Amino acid sequence: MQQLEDQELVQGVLQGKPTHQLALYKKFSVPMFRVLLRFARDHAEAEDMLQDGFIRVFRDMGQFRGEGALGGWIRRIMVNTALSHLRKQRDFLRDVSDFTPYENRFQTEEDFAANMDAETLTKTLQKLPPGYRTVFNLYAIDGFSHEEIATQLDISIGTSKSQLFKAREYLKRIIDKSFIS
Amino acid sequence: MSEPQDFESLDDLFRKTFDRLPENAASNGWDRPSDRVWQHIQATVQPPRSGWSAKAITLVSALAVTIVVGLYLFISRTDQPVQTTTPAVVEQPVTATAPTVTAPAAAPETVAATPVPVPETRPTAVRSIRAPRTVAPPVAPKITEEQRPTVTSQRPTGSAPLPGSQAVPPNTTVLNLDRLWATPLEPLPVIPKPVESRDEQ
Repeated sequence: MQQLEDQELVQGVLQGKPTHQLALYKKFSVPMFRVLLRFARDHAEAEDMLQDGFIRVFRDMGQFRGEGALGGWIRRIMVNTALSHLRKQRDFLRDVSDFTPYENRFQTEEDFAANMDAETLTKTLQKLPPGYRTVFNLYAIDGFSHEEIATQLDISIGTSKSQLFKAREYLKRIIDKSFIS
Repeated sequence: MSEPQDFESLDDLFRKTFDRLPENAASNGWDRPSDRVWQHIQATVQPPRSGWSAKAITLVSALAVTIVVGLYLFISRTDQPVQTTTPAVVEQPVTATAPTVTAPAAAPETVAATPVPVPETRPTAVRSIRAPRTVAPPVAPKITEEQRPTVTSQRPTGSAPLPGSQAVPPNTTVLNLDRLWATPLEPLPVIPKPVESRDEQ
């Protein structure tokens, strides 16, 4: 049933029907926006990425073979769009020496468990430098290898590994600090 | 609601937290894009409506006004006299560079007296690129010897006649004026007036 609905959406979008375009956007805008919020530095940048991503989805819908899930195909386009946006930033892979992005909010472990939800984690990621944030997203959450990350970002494998290491260190400091009263 | 002890590592914390999200957006709207995103997508993806939109009409009107004003300015500018800033031309004596044609060595009478050998080929210096213009002289009407009066080469002004012009015969009335005045006039013959009859008409 889900696959049939996706096929109907694809056919309608290929025929240029506005109702099918809107239906596809309503179905996938929220999950794709969550993905892009992890890559962007704020809400506005994520919206720009989402807009460009869906324009590419509608434009390249003819390339969708129907072999996999439509959501997975759209997600790959969204991630590629986010990477295109990030590569345009001049200080994309800059090394950060002093980084104090987080303030203590949680007094106890229960308090942390109750508040460390997706929104908090997303905002935590957004405070990271763009290079750290991008490599951590691709490797830890989206499951790419260092070779794939190096290819997509046009960097070396060593750079990808070092960016991931520094991103984890900063995240641990943030989360450890959250328990300090 | 996630608990810290469920996660083996930092990566696991983030991965499982984002995987367990519900389909719908959160109530506070942190993961919901604004409506302007779809409006921009719609404006980019969907084809424009058929017919003339207000924007297209405005654009075409502005273009037409621009063309009309531009043509008016162009035409009004071309009507004004053009002021040239070229320097004044200094007249200089013209030096003849045309090849000099060899003049006849002597007058026709002299030539007739002392014949000069004429070369078979013309000198190349005299030859011109353009063909010589051959103008046919005006053909005078043929006059018989009886009709031709005696031509006097003397002109009243004493100047030489123009080439190609014909001499005018003298006025015979003026020449015979003395004889004509001396001869008495003969009476005019009486010519009977013809009588017209109505019957013949």
